Amino acid sequence: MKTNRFSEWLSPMIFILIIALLAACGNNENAGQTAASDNNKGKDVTLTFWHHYSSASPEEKVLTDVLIPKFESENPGIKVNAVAFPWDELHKKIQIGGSVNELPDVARLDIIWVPEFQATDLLVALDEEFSDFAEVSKNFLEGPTSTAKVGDHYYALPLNTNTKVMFWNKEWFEQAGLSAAPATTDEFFEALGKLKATNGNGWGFGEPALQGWNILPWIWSNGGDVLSPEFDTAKGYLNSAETVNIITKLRDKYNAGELSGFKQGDIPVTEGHANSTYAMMVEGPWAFAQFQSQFQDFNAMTASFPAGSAGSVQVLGGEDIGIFSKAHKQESWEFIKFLTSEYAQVEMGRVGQIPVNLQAIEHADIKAIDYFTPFLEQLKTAKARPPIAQWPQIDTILSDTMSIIFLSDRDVQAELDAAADKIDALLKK
Amino acid sequence: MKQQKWSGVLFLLPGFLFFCLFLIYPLLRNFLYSFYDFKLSNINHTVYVGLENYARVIEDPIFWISLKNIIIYGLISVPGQMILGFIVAYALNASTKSSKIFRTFYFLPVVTSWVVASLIFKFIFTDQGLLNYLITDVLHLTESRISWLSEPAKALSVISMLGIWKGVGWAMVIYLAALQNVPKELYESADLDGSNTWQKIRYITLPSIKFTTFFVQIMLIIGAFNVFTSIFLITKGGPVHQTEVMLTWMYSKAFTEYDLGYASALSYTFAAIIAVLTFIQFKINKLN
Amino acid sequence: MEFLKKTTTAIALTIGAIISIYPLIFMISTALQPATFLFEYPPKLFPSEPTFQNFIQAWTSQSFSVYLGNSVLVTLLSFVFLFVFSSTMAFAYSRFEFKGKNLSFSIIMAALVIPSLTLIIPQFILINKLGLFDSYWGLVFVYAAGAIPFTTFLLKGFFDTITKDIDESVYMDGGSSLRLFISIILPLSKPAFVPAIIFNMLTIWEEFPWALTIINDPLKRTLPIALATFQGQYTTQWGIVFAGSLIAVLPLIILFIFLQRYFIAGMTAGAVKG
Repeated sequence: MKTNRFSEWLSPMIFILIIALLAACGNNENAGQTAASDNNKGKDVTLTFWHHYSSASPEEKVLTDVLIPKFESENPGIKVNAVAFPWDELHKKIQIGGSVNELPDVARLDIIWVPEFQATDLLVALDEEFSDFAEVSKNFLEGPTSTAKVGDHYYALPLNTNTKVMFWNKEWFEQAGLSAAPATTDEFFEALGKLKATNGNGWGFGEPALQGWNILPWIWSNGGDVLSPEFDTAKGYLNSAETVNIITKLRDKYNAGELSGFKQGDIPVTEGHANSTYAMMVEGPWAFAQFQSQFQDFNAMTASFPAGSAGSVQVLGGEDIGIFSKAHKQESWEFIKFLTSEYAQVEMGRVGQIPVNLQAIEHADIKAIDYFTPFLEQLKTAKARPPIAQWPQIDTILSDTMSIIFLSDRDVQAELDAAADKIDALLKK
Repeated sequence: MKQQKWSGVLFLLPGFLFFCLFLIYPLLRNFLYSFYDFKLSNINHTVYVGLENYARVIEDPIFWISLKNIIIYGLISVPGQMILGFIVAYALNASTKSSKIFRTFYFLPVVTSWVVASLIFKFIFTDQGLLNYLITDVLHLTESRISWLSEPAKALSVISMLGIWKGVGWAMVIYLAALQNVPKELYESADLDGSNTWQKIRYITLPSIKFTTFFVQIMLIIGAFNVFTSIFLITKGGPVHQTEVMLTWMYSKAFTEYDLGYASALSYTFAAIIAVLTFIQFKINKLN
Repeated sequence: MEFLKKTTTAIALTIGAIISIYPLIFMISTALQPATFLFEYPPKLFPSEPTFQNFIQAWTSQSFSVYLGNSVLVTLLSFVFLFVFSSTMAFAYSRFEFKGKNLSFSIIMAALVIPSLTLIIPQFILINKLGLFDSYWGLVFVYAAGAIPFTTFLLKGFFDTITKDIDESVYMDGGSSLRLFISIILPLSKPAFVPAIIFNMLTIWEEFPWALTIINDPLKRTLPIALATFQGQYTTQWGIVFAGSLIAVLPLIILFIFLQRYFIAGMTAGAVKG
């Protein structure tokens, strides 16, 4: 019985067609997810919120278990869908998302990303869009708020702030005959030798990397800089005598085996500080959270960052929160106002996120957190990194240059000259 | 007969069209991109630049470093996997229970994801990691701890070792299958002639599995050129791009700087190199 | 002499086996350690205070079970497309002559040489144009397409070992090529599917860059992405990362042990004879 050849093909063809149809239907669910999702069920709006609180961290738990439920109960009709990304990937996702219109409504942004995303017209100008912006922004610390300003407008609200302070190991110091943390850069360099002599297997100081975040405080406190005050050139600043001076001193100490931490394979600095590998380190408030969970017996001591000729100038860090949404601007605004309100800021403050909300800073629970004090003090003189769109690329040039300088014996002045040229070329574009 | 011919095409077509859409079409688009100044910032108004991207590739010092690194990696890891894989397969070519257990042990690294394997190796090779502990504190082979991951040469050898560790099981399995196809009579007559093990391997085993060896070699070389995750996680191409390989450098150009046109030129140059190498291997194999 | 040879072989094999498993044991032991002891020196092989805390945290912190389900779903769907297309193409190449046969086969084999990483950007733009961004299908189609060259090659090799006499008898009975394919060739080829499943599953299960690029909805994430988010900006909870990785690798190991019997048989005729 010879069956019709064609009819035998029918079933697999139909199978393939069904799959194709399912594919087409399947993506209709997904299309327009960031857009008109309020057409689905009545007036319910779902906001997508991208952040980089790491999974299983206390701050992420506060966000999902406390803050979002509270917001949703106070704002019936608005739901929040929070998505976690690793820091690096979040940056990429927004960049890629911007090019294909697949952006979240709201995102937590590292302060150095704000100029970049403003330059590509992704962020909503809050002071233009919302009439109560002026009122709301009065409640925040000035420094962090300025990180959200690009040109004449504000493109985000500050969310949390941080900086770094000097941590020092009291026992080790005492063994080396030192009674207190170094107050000046000169004292710092002197201490390194003594600390190393006491413990040959460790280092006097650990710095986890050589990016702007790490190296700028040293440069700034000692009279140097990366860019001019108008952020239009690096020549004369990155390769100034002061910058060359401090970098050379640091490299000499690295070559003498007195500081380390940024090489691949080096013991991670925070853990190393707790287990007596690095006598000193410069880190942010998250170090305390880490000590509390991993090294409960360690007694961390803090002090101001050593002052150089230009004072004790640390780098300002922190995160802002911005709106990308086109369809749900008002709801997004309500959400970010909530996250920067006293209540939310105190909740986050309890797990180590230093608040920017002025009332929250005065709140009893926050004041009770001892370890915030040195940071708040250091914040008074902290300086922000240049608020320009090319900063992430400049940071890469800086980091590569510093790596070359530290890991080889090339001439510091020559390397910094070359780097300044590269940066200037970037700024001209 | 005609029915036959059309049946063939009908069987081929759905899969081939699917394949062309999702693989060949992007491949060709990628080739096109390499002739444009195509960045994320100008994604909607790219500029045609002809061969400029390719000229940049040739002048790019890190391109050459990455090429050198991947060749070194290949020269260490491919023979390593082949030789060790063969030895283990030969030794475990029995149906005993212990052989089967050993085989599973050797295959476990293959089943481990690259991400996990890289993280574990990173852990073991850090300055205060397990290996240094054994070498310095337990066996006292060296005075001070060896910095495995911060010097390019050492880091590259760590990554090559990871490649071998991860791939031996795969080669072993393929060789095992091939070994089971070698006719036993050949060995029996060799025994009668009084040959020893080494002679048996050299004159009977190896020639019998020539095709397998060639297949393994090609697959391992292609695999070596594709190495990415281990370098990305262990050294990130550092320090200062000294341990970059083809894919990590292309990735950083594409996804960190979003210099997409240039990244496409890089990937095509790499692909051309791999293709030429594969072609040469085929020719050499034919000659043998 | 024989005895000496046998013992040295045994010892060498054992050392090799230890080197093979040791890193995994280290991973398990790290996963069982509470965070405090991760950077202890000297490093310990066996945790002094073993705890399942890391596993619990890994599982509960972000709907890990959802990610596991997603990985399973994506892998299964990819396999459906992969096997349907690879087997039909392998059948065509094995059994028929037609114009463009060699050319198309060469194209497919040439694609083996292309690293999938290099195609991410054009694939991203394509998937977006097809409206499949942030969907399972975006993953499935690209994974399946990427695995086609190797699988087609493997299956074709196996099909070639099935004598063409069978074809003759089917046609003489009045059956069509489809009948030959479905009722004879496929069932006979079961052993070849085993290595195809194992090798492809390895690649798809742990694929990271593509999944990261096109999946935004956290509920659609696959395991590798989930594991990456345990790494913080300043610090990483290694114990949890390893615990999560172990959970992620478990299905693969179970599958391998289960299929081990068929594995060697499948490889025998498949790629080996070519």
